[in-house]
Amino acid sequence: MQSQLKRGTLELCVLSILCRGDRYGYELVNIISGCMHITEGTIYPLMKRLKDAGNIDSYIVESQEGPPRKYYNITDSGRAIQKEQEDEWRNFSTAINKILDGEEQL
Amino acid sequence: MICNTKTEFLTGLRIALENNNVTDTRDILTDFRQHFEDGEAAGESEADVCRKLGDIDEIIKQYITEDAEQKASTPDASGFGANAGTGAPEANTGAQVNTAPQTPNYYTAAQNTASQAPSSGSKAGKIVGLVCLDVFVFSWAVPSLLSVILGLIGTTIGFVVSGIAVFIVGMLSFFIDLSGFVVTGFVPLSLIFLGIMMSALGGMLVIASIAAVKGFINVIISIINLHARWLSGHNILEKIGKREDD
Repeated sequence: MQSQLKRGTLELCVLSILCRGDRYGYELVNIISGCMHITEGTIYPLMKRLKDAGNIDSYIVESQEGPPRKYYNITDSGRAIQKEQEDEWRNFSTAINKILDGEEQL
Repeated sequence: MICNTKTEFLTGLRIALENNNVTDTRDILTDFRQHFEDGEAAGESEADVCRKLGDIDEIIKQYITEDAEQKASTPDASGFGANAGTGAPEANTGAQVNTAPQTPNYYTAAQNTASQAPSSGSKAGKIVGLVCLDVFVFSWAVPSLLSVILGLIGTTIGFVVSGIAVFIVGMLSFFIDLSGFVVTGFVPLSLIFLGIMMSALGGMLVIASIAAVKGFINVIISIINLHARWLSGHNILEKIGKREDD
């Protein structure tokens, strides 16, 4: 997949997953890599960008076994952006599918 | 850069992050360290985790891009205004969520600033300072440190070798009459214990010598890095025996 297209949509993927619940890095990466081929290391820079922009946040959970773990959660502005991007994507993919299926109106 | 172990990956990543002046290095390394730990807990090998994470250079490139976009989206970053305006429909929220086609510009911008930063300031002054340090401090400090360490190593070898020799003589003197070759006032058993004691002292000195040699190498690396940092803006060598998470 073209990296630019993937980059834009990966952001939507991360936001959408976090909309359904908080996740830690490895979990999030595995959910996405279970659906498509990605270079896993590039998810973390994306997370940093989303965090710097205030669309997601992180918090530390102390655990009995092993070191404390960092969880990511979505913020209100992140939810708003997710909604917006989801609509955008659905419209876009519907349009593309129409053309691919030869159903476009002349 | 392709890695096979966790340590290799995290060290490589840290050096690359520092050399490229990426912000929040500690936070980023925590993320990746945790990723390795979770991967291992899930039964993946370090090599597998490394392979799936991908090329460090690729990851660094992303962080540089993210940092540049972050700077670009702050109000005081002049010069990016024209770009920001082009994303008209999403202009309200688009400031933070930059659309993909703008990326290449920011990436170049980030690389330029990164490569220009170290060369700012008086380079000539730094070179003069380095030469002064080399001539007046390092020129005598390094050789004298080296001679102390060599002395320590010599003493160590002496203790170990003579300890073993005394031990062997002690053992032999049980079976052979050595009075013609070795003049000792010791009974064999005390020779054996003397040998053991000297070897043990030698053993302690071996540990001290290893620590001293490591310290010396790190001093040399620090000096080389000092030169590199002043001349090109970043370290070129990694210290030995250093934990990856400090």
